[in-house]
Amino acid sequence: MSNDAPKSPQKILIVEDDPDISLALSSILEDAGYVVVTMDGTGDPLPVNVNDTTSLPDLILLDMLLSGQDGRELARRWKGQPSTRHIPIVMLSAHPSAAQEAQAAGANDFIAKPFEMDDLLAHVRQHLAH
Amino acid sequence: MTITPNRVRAFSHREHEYHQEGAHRPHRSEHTVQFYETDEFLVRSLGRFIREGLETGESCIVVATGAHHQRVETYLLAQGVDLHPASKQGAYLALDAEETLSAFMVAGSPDPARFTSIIGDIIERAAARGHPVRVFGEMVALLWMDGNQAAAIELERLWNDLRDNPYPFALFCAYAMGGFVGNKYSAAFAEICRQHSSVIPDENYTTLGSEEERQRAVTLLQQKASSLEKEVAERKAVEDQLRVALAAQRQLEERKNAFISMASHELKTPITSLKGFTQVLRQRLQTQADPQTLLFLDRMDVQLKKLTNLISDLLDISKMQTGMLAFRETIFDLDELVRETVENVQAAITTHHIRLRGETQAQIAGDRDRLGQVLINLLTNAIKYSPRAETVIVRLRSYDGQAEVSVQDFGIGIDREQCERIFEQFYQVADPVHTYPGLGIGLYIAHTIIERHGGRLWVESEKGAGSTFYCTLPLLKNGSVASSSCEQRESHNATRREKMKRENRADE
Repeated sequence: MSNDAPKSPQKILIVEDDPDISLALSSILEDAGYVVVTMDGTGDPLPVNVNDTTSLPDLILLDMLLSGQDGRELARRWKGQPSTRHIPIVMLSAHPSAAQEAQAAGANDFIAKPFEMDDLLAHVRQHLAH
Repeated sequence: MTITPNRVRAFSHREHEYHQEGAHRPHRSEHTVQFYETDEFLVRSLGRFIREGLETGESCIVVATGAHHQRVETYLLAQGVDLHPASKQGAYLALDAEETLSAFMVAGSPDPARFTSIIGDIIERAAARGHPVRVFGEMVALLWMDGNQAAAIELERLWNDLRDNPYPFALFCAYAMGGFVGNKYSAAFAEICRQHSSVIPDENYTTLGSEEERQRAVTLLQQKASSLEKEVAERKAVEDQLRVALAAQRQLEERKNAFISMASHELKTPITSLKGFTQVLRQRLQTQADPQTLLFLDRMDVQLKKLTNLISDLLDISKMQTGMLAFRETIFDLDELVRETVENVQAAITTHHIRLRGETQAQIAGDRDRLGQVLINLLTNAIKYSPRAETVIVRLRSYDGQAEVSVQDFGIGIDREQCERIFEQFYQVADPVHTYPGLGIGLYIAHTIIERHGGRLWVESEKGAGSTFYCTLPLLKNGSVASSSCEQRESHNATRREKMKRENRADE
């Protein structure tokens, strides 16, 4: 439905290795009008052409402990790259004490799992507002 | 100052102790050590040592406690030896052990220069009479009994070193067996004694009549010594076993922690998708479904929240048990936290009205989230245990450098005997009529959190008349934190995402 939105919709990349959480997240975000790209963290860390700014996501939702690789490492890599460092990263983890680690890895925000849908959308909107 | 090991004469039955008539005469410059179990034995040995010296015209210096001086004088008088004439002639010098000791002790240990000068002078003066000098001392024993074993060992060394002075003397020292056994320094001390001294066995040996009996006694002593050694070895083995068991226990604790942490993560993962789907469904059915379907979805959501909280509590208690619960300290406005928490809890309930009265105007240093967790626990308990009431009152006040938050309910109340126990782990108020949900760890967690913040959590209650939980927290001292508290308060008031966003903008 979001594809039909008149203004080009904002794109969110979800990096999450649990397929159900990934599906729930993308359903929530798609219902809210965002374009969602998902990956499970096992493949290419950023499945886009970094030189083509139009293909870059506007926001990344990143699971901290992926089975394939460390979410924190991905965050560090993206934040260290000039072409991607401006993309806000919101980290997700079921470890409530992971907020500090997320911040240390360069994430812009942290949401504890399980999250409230309204809370998640509020965080996402805030980062995409400017 | 090198110390040459002396001949060890322990257990050599020909030269064993002063108690036996003429059995052992101190050689000049000899340092003799005697262990004793009873004062009587010491007094007899010392009496013999003095009498022998005086009879052979030697000068005797006795550095002993007041009590021992008195007892040995009485003992010698009974033996027909009066110390007063010898004392007048300068042949007998009685010094108080404590006073003498204090003359050369500096900061808890004997000062070598002072010791050599003070004791050296005394011996020199005694030697000026032109006769050999014999000295009895129990200053080392005093230090030992005082628990200052390091100083005792040092003083023992100083005495040994003093033998090299130009006025040779025979030294006799006595140590109470009781103070010598089972001390971590005893091995070091025994080693020093062995190196420099004649060591004489104690009374058990010397009171025996015949040679044969003595031989047997010596054998027994040796057996006793070897059985002691065996016991020490056994104890050491047990200690080693304990150490291994402790290390294993610690390892198990670590594994348990890692397990609980992993388990809580694993449990939260399915809850995350369940909750996500529930909320998506609720959203999608908002306009299509009947009210009951929506209500079911709401109840599912509430139950999922409960499940999440239970998992968090389990994780907390496991961390607390191993002291792994970490706090993130900030300085924050307590009234604001209470207001916020009351609003959040109120938003989720319709059965009760939470009234907030008073204010603390307090800045608190602590983990804001954890303290919020305590408040939530107190509020949900108040609601849970007052099913027929409609009001919960939260009161705020400050007094005596403390901020106090109290939560009063008008529910079932708590028996006086149970008021202390409810803060224990896994304890729940027993009610024959109702059962109340929960793990029985909430108040234990709350209590631990408050204690770790230097505060107190207690309850005043009566069965059937409701309960009031009081929680106090230390106020920040005025002035000292004025600027930093404002700064930190601001940073805390700004939500984490706003803060992070600011940093992000700075990045761009």
